[in-house]
Amino acid sequence: MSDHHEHEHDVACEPLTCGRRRFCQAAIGGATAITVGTVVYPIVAFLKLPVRLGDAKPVEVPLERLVPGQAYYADFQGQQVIVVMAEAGPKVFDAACTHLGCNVVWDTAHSNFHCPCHGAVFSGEGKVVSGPVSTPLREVPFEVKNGVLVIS
Amino acid sequence: MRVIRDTYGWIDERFAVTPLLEKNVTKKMVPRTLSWAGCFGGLAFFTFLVQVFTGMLLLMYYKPHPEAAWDSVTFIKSNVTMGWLVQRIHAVAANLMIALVLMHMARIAYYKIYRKPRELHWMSGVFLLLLTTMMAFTGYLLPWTQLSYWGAKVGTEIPSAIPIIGQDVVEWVRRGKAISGETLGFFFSLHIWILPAVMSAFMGLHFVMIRRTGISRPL
Ligand code: HEM
Ligand code: FES
Repeated sequence: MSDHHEHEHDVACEPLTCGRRRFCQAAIGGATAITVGTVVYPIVAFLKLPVRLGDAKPVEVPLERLVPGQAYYADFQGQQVIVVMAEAGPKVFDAACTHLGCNVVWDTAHSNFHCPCHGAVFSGEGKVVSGPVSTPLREVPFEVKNGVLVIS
Repeated sequence: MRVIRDTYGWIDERFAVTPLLEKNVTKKMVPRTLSWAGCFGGLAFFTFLVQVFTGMLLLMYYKPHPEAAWDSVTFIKSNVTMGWLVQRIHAVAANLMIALVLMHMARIAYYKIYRKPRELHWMSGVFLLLLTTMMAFTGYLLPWTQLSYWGAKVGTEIPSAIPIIGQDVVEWVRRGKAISGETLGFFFSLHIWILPAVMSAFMGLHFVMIRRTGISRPL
């Protein structure tokens, strides 16, 4: 195709014939691509994460339910969160251990978090105390509205 | 384009795909008198493949339990992207498949193709028709709707006409006296695994025999 000009009067490749052939090839190729696309697109779309209607629900905890020194467990978007009542007020942590993601549990006697998987310990403020971790627990933002703690 | 051609060439050099394709597809001779009615068997097979693929997708979310089945099908139809389409294709192609199998058989019967040496083609085909209807019957219970429930109830009542053992057969297919979660589990295992496996074996036989005798030449 690069030396197109030299062959313009070639019998085997009249411009008309060449153009028509290329048009037909493009048309067949295009039609095939559209057909394959209409099959592949729905399959790929089906594999996308579905809309789970329950996911968007906020967590609401009335403040009077929170006891100082104790933990309140809740489920936020499929992940456990832990609300602890410190002296300065409530704090919310993502229960996922920053090592490999097991759920940590609140230890009331020591006022700290323990991970059952590989023994990580986090302080009541979520700081690393010991274990195979170097990152503090993730804090989850929340608001207090009319005496109700809201995570959304 | 170049990349595709080179990759194909690389594989072809080692695996000899082209002669295989030429022998079986591109240069395969079929009788010139073959009519369009000769396509129905292949089309029935195509709808089977459609059912296998859409069925595998539905299985990602379907839950075979009386308390969850209907919700899971509703979830597929309303929350999964393109779920409504995949679910509809599976339900519509099921009907289409039965129609195509019947049209395929009508051609064989009309042209008397079932005669020697093709008797076994016909016999295996009768089993394939039965298996296809069983697939549709077992699948119909899975969404666990009122229609499903009463459809299964009526369908499983039929063997009660058999003398003496009729009632036992009914209870055996229902896995109990009534249509229950056990029926659903039984139909589910038949629908997604047992029947497709048996069907694949019969199709394998059917196709091997057709390759041996070749397509029949209408007189
Ligand atoms: C390996 C192959 C197959 C698998 C894994 C499969 C899987 C499923 C699943 C999970 C359902 C429940 C979801 C729903 O109700 O839409 C279903 C329903 C159904 N299947 Fe299949 N299927 C297969 C092949 C077939 C075939 C060959 C037929 C019929 C010829 C068939 C007919 C049906 C019917 C009629 C329904 C009910 C659809 C409705 O009313 O909504 N399936 N199948
Ligand atoms: S996941 Fe928590 S210590 Fe390993």
